[in-house]
Amino acid sequence: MIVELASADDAERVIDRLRAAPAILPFTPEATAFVAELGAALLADPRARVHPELMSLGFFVRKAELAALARDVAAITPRDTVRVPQGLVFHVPPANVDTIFAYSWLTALVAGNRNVVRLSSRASPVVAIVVEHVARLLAEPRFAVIAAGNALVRYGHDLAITRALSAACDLRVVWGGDASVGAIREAALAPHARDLTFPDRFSFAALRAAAVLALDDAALGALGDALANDIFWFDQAACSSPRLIIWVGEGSREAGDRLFPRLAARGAALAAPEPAHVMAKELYAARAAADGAAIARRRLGAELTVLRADDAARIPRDHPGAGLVWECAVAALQDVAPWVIRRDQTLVHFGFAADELRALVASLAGRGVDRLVAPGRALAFHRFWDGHDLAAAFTRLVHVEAS
Amino acid sequence: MMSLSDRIGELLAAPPFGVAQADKDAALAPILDALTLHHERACPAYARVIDVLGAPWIPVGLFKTHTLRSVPEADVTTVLTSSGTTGQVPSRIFLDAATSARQTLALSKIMGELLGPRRLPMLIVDQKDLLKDRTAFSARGAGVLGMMNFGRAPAFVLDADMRLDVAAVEAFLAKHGGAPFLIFGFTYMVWTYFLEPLRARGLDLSNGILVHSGGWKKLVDQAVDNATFKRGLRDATGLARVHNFYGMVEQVGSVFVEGDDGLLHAPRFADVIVRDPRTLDEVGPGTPGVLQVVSALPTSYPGHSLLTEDLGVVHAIDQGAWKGKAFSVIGRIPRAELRGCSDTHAADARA
Repeated sequence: MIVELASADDAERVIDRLRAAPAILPFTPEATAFVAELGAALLADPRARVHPELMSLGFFVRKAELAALARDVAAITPRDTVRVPQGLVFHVPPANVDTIFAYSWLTALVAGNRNVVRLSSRASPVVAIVVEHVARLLAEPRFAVIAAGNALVRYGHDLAITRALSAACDLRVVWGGDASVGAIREAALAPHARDLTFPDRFSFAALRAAAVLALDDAALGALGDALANDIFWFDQAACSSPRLIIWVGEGSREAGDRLFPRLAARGAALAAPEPAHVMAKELYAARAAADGAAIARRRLGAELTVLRADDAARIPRDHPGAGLVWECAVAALQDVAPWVIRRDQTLVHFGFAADELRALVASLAGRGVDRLVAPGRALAFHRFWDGHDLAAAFTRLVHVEAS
Repeated sequence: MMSLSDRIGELLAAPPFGVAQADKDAALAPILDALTLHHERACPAYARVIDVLGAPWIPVGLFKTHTLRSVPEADVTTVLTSSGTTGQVPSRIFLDAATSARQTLALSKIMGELLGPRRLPMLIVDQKDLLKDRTAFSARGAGVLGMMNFGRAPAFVLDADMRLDVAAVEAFLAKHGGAPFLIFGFTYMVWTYFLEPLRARGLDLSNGILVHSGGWKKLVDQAVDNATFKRGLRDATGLARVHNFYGMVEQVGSVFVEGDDGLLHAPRFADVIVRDPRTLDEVGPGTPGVLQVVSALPTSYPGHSLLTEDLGVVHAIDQGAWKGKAFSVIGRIPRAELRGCSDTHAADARA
């Protein structure tokens, strides 16, 4: 199923094959059916219980979700336009968040694109399971069109192959850090083509202290579990993993005393940090203290280190991951605004009305923060990501001026 | 009341080995406490760190990013820098005359135990031109230079391409081989560039005393451990007196040397504490963990208590003539697997 590329010539052969595939429109029944059936297969796979990220992916591409997406896309397609695919999309997912490739690829696929997806050379059971189901489905004659227009590829250190694929594509999607984006840009695109990049981001949470203190034990447990899922998954190294908790209003110290033990307990169940993680957090804490940024530390076992800052502006956005959270107190949600920068992506919120959140977004006016989500939703992939509407980004509009 | 310097001096004056652990702790602990106080007063960054972390030790990596100095800049006589791995930021260690003198004295006390009171002829398993550029010493150069204080008539035996100059070895042996002599080199280089070419040549190094250091990582990859290393040397050359030592640029002088039991020992003025790599609580003999190293030597920089990035294990306490803790270093803490969004195929794209 996966095509191993040994040279730029191999890449050219893949490109030729994809170009020969029949053109399809967004939400073509074969494409929608393939994606939905893949999702159903993942949800039914017993191995998904061991790898919950497969469940998340399966839910994302359920038949009902795809139908809703088709309706939403139709709703934003003006009547004097026809929505068409971008063409050939080259996906460069991160090596270590296993399911990103599938979100990126499947969203582009239902939008009617031909796709070439570069998979990591690193062996991953999660990727292997997805690919196994993909291979089985694409072998069926009813998905021949999809099989013809999509390629999962793998290759080693070879800029020539990256150049060939980049030159051929209409849209290149790069998931990864700033360094990765910079490196991949050494390979030129065709004049009309463009990059959709998802570089390094910083994410945080804003919790109203009084709202946390008002919770009964059961509700506090639920909040702690939800936040722990946000924080501890992917070793806290995903772009959307919250790395800072901003306490809003009175009672921050007491609220932390209630919440952090719960977070640590759940964190211990989710991920046991390796010694290298523990040491990295110690060193990070020491550096933050030496710089005067951290004024206090709570160490809740190996799993969770909480560093307190008295001024959010002093908190560095670099981060060791693996269960380290900054905390800082402000009087009002709006006090966050001066500190936010373009790099800030996800704001996990608790205890605020929708109006307050919208007012914050309005006062930021695009300076930063691309998504505001409830606890437990930080890592949930969505069509709206990093300020892009992926369904729109993977398509173009043809303007039809009737006489 | 004695000054802190005098108290450290007293510790340094006594024989470095042979003190029971309880006696050692009783003498060392108050000095370490006094050093913590001293550095808290003299180094504000250190004071902030231990206030926030709630422990007197600091991670050794802090010296890579922060200027940690407990004396006025004008008093600094030497700045030591670690080599680290290629591409890494080096540690910077600030020495004044007093700390520097203590380091030299400490090392000579320890080496005196291994080598005797007289300076021995010295065969150096390193390149002849290692010390040519005196303005830019590598850590290797600094290590060799430090050891040259304890030998005389130094003979470097590797050429610029790391080839062994067998004639130089033979000339050295002809002159000095009949009585005790010192061999110094880095562990990996001794094995690879010295022992390998010497095999089957039948040279007699049985009067030699090898002192070596630098870590086992490359040799462990070739399945060469300390026992293999020593057997190899003994079988090929008759060299039987071999002492590995463990030390770091952040605590020059208070090195841990291999005793007759094949294990590392802390001198009177230093110690090693093994900590659970997750809880950081101290663990007892037999349980591996992260090594914390303490030393009474440094007053010019806050390096008297450091959490290293090495794993080790204490095997026994107060057994054998040297008493104290007998331990071994297992190696570096294994790297954690990189996760997260920030790692794509950057390296591939650049290739």
